[in-house]
Amino acid sequence: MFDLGAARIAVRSPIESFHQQLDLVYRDYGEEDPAGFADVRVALLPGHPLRLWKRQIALWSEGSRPFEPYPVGSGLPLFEWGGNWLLAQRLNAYLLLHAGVLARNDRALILPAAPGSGKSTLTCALHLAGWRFLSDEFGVLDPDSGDLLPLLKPAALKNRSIGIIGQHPRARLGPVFPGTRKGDVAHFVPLRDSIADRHRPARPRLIIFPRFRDGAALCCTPIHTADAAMRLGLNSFNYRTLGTVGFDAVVRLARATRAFELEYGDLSAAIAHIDALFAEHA
Amino acid sequence: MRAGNGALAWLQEHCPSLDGQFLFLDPLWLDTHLLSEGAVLILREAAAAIDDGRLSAFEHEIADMGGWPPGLERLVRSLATLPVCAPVGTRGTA
Repeated sequence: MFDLGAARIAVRSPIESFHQQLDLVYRDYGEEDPAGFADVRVALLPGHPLRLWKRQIALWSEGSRPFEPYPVGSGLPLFEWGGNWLLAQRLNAYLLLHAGVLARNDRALILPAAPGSGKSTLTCALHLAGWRFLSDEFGVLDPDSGDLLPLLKPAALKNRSIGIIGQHPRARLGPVFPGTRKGDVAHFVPLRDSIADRHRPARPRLIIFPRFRDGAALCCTPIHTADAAMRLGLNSFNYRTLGTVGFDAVVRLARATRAFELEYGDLSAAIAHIDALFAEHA
Repeated sequence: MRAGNGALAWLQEHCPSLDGQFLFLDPLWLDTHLLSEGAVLILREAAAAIDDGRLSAFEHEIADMGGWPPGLERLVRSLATLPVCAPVGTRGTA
């Protein structure tokens, strides 16, 4: 059982290689009582026993197997993606943005983005530059308080991002899984301070919609409040499911923040610009 | 007397102004629309007509003026699905 902050996930498996992978990326989380409440419970079990020539691992939850099995050595990517999918289905007490979230002095920076926009790389790089890590995948917004809650899972880095983040002296990554459905994948482990602070919320202050483009000059454009609200809704896992609650939460969030779109081709320049924007607007 | 909920009340709650533009939450499909001030003015008139039970007459007025602006008719139809409840104390007793 892992306490991720805004949610708990319970996992069991008889597969030793999966346990070793979990130990590498979750060792700073501590162990919770496995009989306690969990938002999501999963089991990673051997695939079909007759497929001896190609051993597989399958993720089960509540009596169903929502995904095709993976090769037996790829338990961690299956657990991470499957766990994210299940959390996105279940955590409807909150508005779930598809966003990286970081904080300084409990004031939050939100990085909502579509897949492939460089969100994870930017989130990890900002974290290694001194920002508190709240999430790489889920911006968990409490509609009652308006606060962002940490949901601290390892960040899935893909392809070139593995080398870019992995070269940082403080970066700790799990094993590289080559040739998955999303290319090569490795999991970045948030620094211990952020894990220890995983029950500490942050007030939203700045929203940046990042877009990495190879060779692009840095270009930062303000976004109108109403446009920002629309884009936040589009970047949410459960906005429509929440109906009026989601609508009110997005309007409140857009009013409480400033929003920008940032296109960049150089990570260091993007970080410096975000630092300056945050100092000015947060 | 206008009821405490209904189309106008929905607009009041779910069509806020954000720095001069308006976000409207469709009460039927729960999708969100970005609207201009002019579009919201028409929606308000339509909502008042819905709450007063004179939507058909309002639609005739719109037709006489050349028809609905693009996209607004669907939003008005959604508003027309909202239940209108009379305020407490206005209903007769058996």
